[in-house]
Amino acid sequence: MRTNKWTKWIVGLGGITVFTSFLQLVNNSDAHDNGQQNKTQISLKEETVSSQNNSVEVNEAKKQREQLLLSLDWDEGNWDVEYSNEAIIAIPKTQTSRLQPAENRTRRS
Amino acid sequence: MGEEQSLSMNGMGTAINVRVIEYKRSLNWKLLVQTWFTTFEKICSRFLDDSELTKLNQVPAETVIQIHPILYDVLQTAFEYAVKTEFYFNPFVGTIMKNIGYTQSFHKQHFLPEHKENIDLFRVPSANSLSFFPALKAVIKHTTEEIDLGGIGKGWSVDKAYHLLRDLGINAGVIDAGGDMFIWGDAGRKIGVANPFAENEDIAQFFISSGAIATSNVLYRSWKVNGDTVHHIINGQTGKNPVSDVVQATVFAECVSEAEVIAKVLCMLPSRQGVQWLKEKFPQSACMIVTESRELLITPSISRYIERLAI
Repeated sequence: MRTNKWTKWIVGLGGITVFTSFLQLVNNSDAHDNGQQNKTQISLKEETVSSQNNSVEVNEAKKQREQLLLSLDWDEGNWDVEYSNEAIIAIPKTQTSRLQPAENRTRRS
Repeated sequence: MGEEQSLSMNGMGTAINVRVIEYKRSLNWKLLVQTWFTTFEKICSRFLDDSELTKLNQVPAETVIQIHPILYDVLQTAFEYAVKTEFYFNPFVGTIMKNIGYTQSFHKQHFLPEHKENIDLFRVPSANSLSFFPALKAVIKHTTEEIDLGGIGKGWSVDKAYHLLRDLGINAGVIDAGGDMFIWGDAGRKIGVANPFAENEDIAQFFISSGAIATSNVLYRSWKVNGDTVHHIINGQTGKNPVSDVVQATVFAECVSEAEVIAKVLCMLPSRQGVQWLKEKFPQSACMIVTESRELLITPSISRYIERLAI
C-alpha cells in the first residue's frame, strides 16, 4: 500500500516534469523561429535601406549629369561627347578649340 | 552699389591679380594684400637664401626648430595632404627639384642646368617624417630630404588672402595668382581654361560665382636635361616625373590649397584612374582633365561649382 502511494507520487511528478520540459522546448523553438524571422526582417529592412540609398545615389548622380548636360554648351561640329557615370568625355573632331581667351583665366601654374 | 577695384602685382614667381567689389572707399585692402603676398614669399620661398623655409631646409634632421607661425601652418597643411594622398603629393621633393636643376624661380631662367647630387637617395617619406609641436610652433624633421612648398604654398596664400579680404567686409571678388583662383560673391564670373596646346586660346569656359580653382600642367614648367624633357611635377611616391596621358588638370574645390594638391596628383595618374581617385579621395571636388590626345574628361561633380560650361 505504502509502495503504491510512492509510485503514484513519482509517476505524477515525473509527468509534470516531462510536460513542463515539453512546454519549454516548444517555447524555445518558437522564440528561435521568431528570432530568425526578426533577423530576416531586419536583414530585409537593411537591404531595402541599402537599396534605397543606392537608388538615391544613382538618382543624385543622374541628376548631376542631367544638370551638367543642360549647362554644357559645345559646338557639335568640334566635339564628340560621351557620358558615363564617372566622367563626361569630350573628344575633339578638329585639332584645337577656337574660344577667345576670357578676361579671367585659370592656367598652368 | 559697390565699385570694382583691381590690383596687379608680381609675387611667388607669377603675376597676381585681385579684383574686388568695394563698398567702403576707406578700406586699404590693396596695401593689405600686397603686404600679405610679399611677406608670405619672404617666409616660404625655397628660392630665397634668407627665407624661413631655406633655414628649415638647412637644419639637420632630428633637431627641434621653432619656425614662423605662417610656415608652421602651411607645412602642417601640406603634410596632412601628403598623408591623405599617400604621398603622391609630397612636400619633400626639394632635393629632387634641385637635382634636376630647378634651383631658381622659373621665370628668372630659361636654361636650367642639371645637377646630379644624391639622385638615387630619394626615400618616400611616411606619416612620421615630421613631428609638430603646436604650442611651440616647432617641428622636427626625421628625413634629410628638403621641403618644397611650391604650388600648395601659393594656393594656401590665396586662401589666406581671401580670408583677409572677407574679414575687411569685402563680399565679392576674385584672386588670381598665376591661375590659382579664389572667387566669391553672388555674381557669376566667366573664367577661361587655357588651352595647354595653344596658350592664347581657351579650351573651355565656365561661369562660377564661388569656389576655388587650380590648374597644373606638365608642359609649361618643363626644360631639357641631357636631351630629355623634364618638368616640375614629381610623383612623390617615386621621386621621378610621372608617366601619364594627362597634360593638364583643372580642379574645383572648397579651397585653393586642396585644388592645387589634387591638380598635381591628377597630372601623375593615367586620366581614367585619376577620375576614379578623385571620386574616392575627394568626392566633393571636381576636375577637367586634358589628355595628350586632346580629350577632355569632366567629372559630373563639376555642376556643384559652375553654372554653365562651354567647350
